[in-house]
Amino acid sequence: MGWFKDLFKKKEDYPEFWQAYAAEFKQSDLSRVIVLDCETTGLNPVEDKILSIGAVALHDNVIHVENHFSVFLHQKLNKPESIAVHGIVKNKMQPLTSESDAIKQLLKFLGNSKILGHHIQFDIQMINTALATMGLPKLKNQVADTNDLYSKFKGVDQSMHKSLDELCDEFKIPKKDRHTALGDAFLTAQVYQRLVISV
Amino acid sequence: MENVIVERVADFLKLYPPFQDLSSEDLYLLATKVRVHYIPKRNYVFKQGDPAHKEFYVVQQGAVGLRSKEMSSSNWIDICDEGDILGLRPLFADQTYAMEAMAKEECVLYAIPFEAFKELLLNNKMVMDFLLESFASNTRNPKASESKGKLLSSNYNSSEEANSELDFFQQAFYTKNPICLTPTKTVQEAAYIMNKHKISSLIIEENKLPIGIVTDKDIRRWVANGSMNSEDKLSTIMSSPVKCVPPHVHLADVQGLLLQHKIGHLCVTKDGSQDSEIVGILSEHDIVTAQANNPIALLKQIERVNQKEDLTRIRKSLSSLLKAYLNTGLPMPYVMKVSRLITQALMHRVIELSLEKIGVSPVKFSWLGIGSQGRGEQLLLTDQDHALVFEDVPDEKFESTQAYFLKLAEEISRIFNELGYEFCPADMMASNPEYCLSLSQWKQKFSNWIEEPSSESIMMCNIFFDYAKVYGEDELSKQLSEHIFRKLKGNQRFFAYLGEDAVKNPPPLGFFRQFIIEDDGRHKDEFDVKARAIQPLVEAARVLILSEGIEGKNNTIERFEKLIELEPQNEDIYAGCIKSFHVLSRFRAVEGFKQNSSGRYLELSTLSKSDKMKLKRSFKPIKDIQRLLKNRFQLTYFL
Repeated sequence: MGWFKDLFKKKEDYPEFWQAYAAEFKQSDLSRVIVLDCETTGLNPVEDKILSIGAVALHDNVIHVENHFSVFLHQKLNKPESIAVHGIVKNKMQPLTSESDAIKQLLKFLGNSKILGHHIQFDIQMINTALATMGLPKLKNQVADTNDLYSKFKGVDQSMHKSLDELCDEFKIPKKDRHTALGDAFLTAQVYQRLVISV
Repeated sequence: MENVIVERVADFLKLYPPFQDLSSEDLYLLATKVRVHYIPKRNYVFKQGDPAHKEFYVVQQGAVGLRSKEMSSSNWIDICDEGDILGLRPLFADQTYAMEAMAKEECVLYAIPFEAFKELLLNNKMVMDFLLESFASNTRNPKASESKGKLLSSNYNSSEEANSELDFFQQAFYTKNPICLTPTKTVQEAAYIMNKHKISSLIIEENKLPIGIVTDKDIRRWVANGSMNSEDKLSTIMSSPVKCVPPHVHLADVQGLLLQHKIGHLCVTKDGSQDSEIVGILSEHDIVTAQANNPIALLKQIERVNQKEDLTRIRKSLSSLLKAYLNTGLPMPYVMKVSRLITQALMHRVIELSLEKIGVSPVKFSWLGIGSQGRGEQLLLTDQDHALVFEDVPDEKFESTQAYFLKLAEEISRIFNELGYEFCPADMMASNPEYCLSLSQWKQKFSNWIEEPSSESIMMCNIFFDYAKVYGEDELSKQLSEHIFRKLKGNQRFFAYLGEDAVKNPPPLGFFRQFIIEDDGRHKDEFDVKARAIQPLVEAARVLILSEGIEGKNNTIERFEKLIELEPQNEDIYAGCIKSFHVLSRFRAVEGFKQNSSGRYLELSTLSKSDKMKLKRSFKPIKDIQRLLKNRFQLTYFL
């Protein structure tokens, strides 16, 4: 089993890009937050695959459009039922990147920033699975979920399950480009602003 | 690769000037650099005196209010909403903000870094001009370019200090198509022409190029020399070469040149060199006039004038001043205030002069401006609307007293007419015995209107309720107001009538958000901005303020401001009405000056897309306020 062998793998055995990524965590940068969203072939982290990753950075709670990340992955598995949701069809116009290259680019973009997303644990799990396939450890970044922030914002103890659509409606954010990774990331970033910038 | 975020940002920006003038490549590039800010309600974007940000802002959602500490804290200088730009100051001026910007509603702002924008500015003159104009919006330059779709605000500062700073942006204006002579003409011919046209200089041209200039001074020197000959050619006495400047030259530069070279005239040429075509002449006098043509100077002049001709000239100066203000996009509250102050001073002076002529009044009186004059909302030359109230006199003296005041009113009205204010077609003037009455008679008149509401009496109320004393005894108008408010107190039936009248014109948007236009008559296919948009706001403000029993608030804006104070829960609606009123008044005034008309009818086909959007956006508050009226006065039972 690969993961067993990996467990005892020495740090210096990891590829250079991972070393560079890991080295960033010697310091922490609290001002940069990455809002991330993955579109996948389905909701099962074991079977399903990442089709695209979109992310945009906030610096001190301001969204910097220029500082964004978007990649479409080349995947063998493609379930027709999920196409209806995210609209990514195999061989569509976007240039496709291999999963390992995509992950490599993502790590570089993430650096040591905090990752934020809506129901983000699923996305993290998907990325960690991809990392494991490459023989690499899990993401080292801090993670926050808009769903938890929303509960806190409302002053409720237990997690309230709200969809991104519901949050956008509540905060009067016009829903555009839903179900594209970058579009969802942008919407989530706007929800995040309303949750953390105090009135 | 496609990027949905950048596309969304670009899609938004391209709806508004100046971004709509950019190529799609430039726009896309710019959108990439945008930063998205979220500002909760009542938070600041920047405060007065804050060090400059490295970016300026476009309102994407919500509204940002601008105000300056020097002015009273509740007065917004301007309110920026979707598509408006704010925070341009660092691009042009010093390193701190001259006013504060606060989110009136929660806002999403697109911030554009100056760094990213500077290169675009260099290559897009139109964009630069637009920003310059919207920034330097209090220039007094009457020759500023025609206003396009830009009813937007900028960092405007009303203090004296900022004025001098902004003078830098003022373009000098010059006399176009100056009189020119060729160097072979004689000095005598030149003197004859200068005398005939009352000018102090002539440009000497050869093939449309300026080769010299002859001024009064040169001719004086020629005479003083004693060796003059009537056959002397201009070439022998002209000053050459002549100093030239390009058409778009700043006042400050012109002053510098005149001082530096100790000269009184400059020739304006196409490219500013001596080797290009003559387009105009600029004299020291032009500069002085440009600087004298300001509100303070006009007010001082009014106090001093004794002749009608001078009053007419001042009335004309006011018009050109307002026109220039409107063209340069100066905030409406300021434009309206200047207009109100000067108009009032002018009328006051007319009455003073008339009293001198007709003789001292037998008893105390008060001259009242009514309608838009009473509200202080006139920008254009409109019809005269006024009334006169005099002290109660014994019955036997009434006839002679009224006769005196009718005579006075006729004189005043005649002068107003000469100044350009047309006689009121419905004869609602103090020269009409119906509206030149004693205090008791006026009280009776108002009592009748209030106690027996009918469509006619409501119409009279709409006109006569907005009166303001222009001249005379405060006491009389005050007593009349007290009487009216006593009559109004708790009079639900009357307010229901007044309220019903205020909602008779629904917001002017039909199905599919189309404008409702006039479908017959002389103004077919035009939009009646007065009746369909301005009037509903004026009437709503009136009925609300009267029903609150507030005296002494006549101006629509002031009424809404007072209402915000009284009913903070309705702040959003009332603030929306204020903004709409400003926008609509500007449309009307711009149209009025352009067509030399009342500005009442807008030709929609001549409006730019963004102007149409501005106009449509200003209708929403009409809908909101009418809903409020219907609820408050239970009008649903009436309608």
